[in-house]
Amino acid sequence: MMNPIKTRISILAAALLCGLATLGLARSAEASPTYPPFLQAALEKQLMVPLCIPQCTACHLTNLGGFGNLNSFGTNLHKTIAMGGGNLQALGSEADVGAAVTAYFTAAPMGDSDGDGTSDADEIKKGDSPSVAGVRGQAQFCPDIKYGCAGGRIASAPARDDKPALFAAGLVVVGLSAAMRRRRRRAQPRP
Amino acid sequence: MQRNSVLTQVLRVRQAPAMLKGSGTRKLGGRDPLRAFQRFLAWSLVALFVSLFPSRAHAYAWMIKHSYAGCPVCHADPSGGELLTAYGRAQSDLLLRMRYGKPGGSSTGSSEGSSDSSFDSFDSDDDSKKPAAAPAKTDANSGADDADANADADADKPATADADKPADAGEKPADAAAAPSTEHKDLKIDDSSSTDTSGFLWGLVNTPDWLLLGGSYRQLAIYTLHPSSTKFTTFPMMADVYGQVSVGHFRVEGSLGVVRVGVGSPYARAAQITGNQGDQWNLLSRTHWLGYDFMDGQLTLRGGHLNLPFGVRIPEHTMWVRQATRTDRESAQQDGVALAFNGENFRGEVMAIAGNYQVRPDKYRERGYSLYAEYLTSSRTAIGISSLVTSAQEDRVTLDPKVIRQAHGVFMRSAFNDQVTLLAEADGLFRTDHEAGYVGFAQLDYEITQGLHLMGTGEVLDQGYDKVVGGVRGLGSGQPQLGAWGTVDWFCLPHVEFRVDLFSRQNDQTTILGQLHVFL
Repeated sequence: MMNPIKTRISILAAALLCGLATLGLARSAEASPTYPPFLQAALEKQLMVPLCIPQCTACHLTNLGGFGNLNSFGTNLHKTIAMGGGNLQALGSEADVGAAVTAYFTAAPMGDSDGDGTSDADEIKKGDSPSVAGVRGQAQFCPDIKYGCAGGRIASAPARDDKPALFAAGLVVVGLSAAMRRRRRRAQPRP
Repeated sequence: MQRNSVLTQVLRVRQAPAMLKGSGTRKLGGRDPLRAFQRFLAWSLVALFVSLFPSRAHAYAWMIKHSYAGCPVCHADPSGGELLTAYGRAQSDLLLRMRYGKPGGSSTGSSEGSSDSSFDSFDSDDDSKKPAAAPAKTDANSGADDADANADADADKPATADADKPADAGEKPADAAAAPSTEHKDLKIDDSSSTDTSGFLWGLVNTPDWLLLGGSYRQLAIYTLHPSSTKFTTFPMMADVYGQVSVGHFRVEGSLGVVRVGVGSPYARAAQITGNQGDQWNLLSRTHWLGYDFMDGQLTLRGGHLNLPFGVRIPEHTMWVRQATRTDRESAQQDGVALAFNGENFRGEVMAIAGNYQVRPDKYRERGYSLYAEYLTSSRTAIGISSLVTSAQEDRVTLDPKVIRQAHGVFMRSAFNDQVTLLAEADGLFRTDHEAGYVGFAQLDYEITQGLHLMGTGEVLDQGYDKVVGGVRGLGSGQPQLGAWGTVDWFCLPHVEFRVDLFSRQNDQTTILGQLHVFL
């Protein structure tokens, strides 16, 4: 027969896991998941063409992203933001990204980050990378890479804030506290 | 006899760890370990959201300080990581977590005086049952051999150990697997409390010999520090279950998890098995393979979706040395066939990479090989080499066309004493259309007391200047980029770990990572 102490600890642990599992329901598992859809929205508004959600390589050298890993288009965006007194690392909202894109294309409507003779705006409209010249950059703004063992679909933009997750976390803490209080009350001998 | 008294047993089980006693009955649950456990969890959760919290996981390369240089004794994967054997579960309880006043196995001379150089420390313990180097793997999976040894040794066991687990000792593989440690002449361990919680789901489920189950949940919080903008985010980084079924010499292992990442994310995507390309939840499987053990388990041939054998198998998947070589255990696994060898003083694995068939289309799949070989130079020092060559029509991460990617390097693991361990790796990076680059790290782990680690890590990266794109040589791309990590890692409870990392990299934001890791 199972040791009752062990059973209780196990159940408690399982409950903890369930609680923990609710903590991040509103978030995706990465640090800055919002930039690609923000960039998509900003570019669609600026260039007035429908675009896919780009990969991190739209502005970074690799899909690993990071502020120290900008490609030439990302660097030019950065410079524009800096000239306007902004700070790339302070970009947080869709409005921030939109303002940065607008500022860049306003300041340099024919800007050509990779110097291949085609403007960034035209390359993005065609789905090419504005940072990689010539053939190598073709179709690189929205590459055809797919993940998983079966066909899939592109989702909507991710959740914009942490509030649901923090609310869920708060509920877990309150629930745990209530459960402990109730258990303690039950454990007290009745007069 | 007192030690067999049910009343005595219950009282003993309910005694709180010494560290908790002095804190008052009300404050920390007094003498009730369950209460103390609950309070710890509750306060941990509060701390997690009020400030930032802690963690991390399996395949701790610093276990070499316990003379565990090899991996299959404790892990189902012959090169380490994730799923634990029954024996590994017991050792995780005995050697990893804080004991709160009880004598542990970590800092009490786990291998004091051990002069035997072997990848399987327990082979060196007991010459009478010393099988070849690796049979411990299959034994550890089943616990059968250990159970026999346990039965033989019952008469010699200390009274305390018997008194604490008289009823269960004979019926649990995990318990049985824990027993050898009490016989280990170098380990001065009281395993009286470890066996209650070391099994799957803290002992709720006792798996048969042929079945291993495990799981891992990691909640991550990231706090970026910037003068004009501090950002906080928290998300479930990992929620996986894994299992292995053994039939004779055959083994089938697999993992299944859920994750949600953004479009274009470099993380998790390559491991997903469902096809959502956006920010929806996806099912993923990081590893799934069929294996066959032969030569008494010294050799294991596996085919399937495998961790790449390369370098030091650390859990920090964002460490440059794992990220730049793409050999982390987060989602860098590939399909292929691998042969692993675990001998007395030598271990290694070579894998033929057939590509990741969870990525489409085929042009993004990398094919080639990956390998490592490690030699144990003393009981607690090992040095090794790694090599990887892959080619793809188009690089999945950089989108470069027709890429041949290479990484070749050396690594070492060395325990200076019972508390201090050094892990280090240096690799050269070679990529089509890029100048040669390099990546390296060195991590010093100081275990203040069993279960509480302080770590300092330095890392360097130059991925190689892109000769086609050109432009200015930047940090990490033509110039060396430096990074430093400071870590507090606390294995506070059975199968629960809190970890806080503060890391700063040149040309990047200083970031605090808090992680809660619960492994089933």
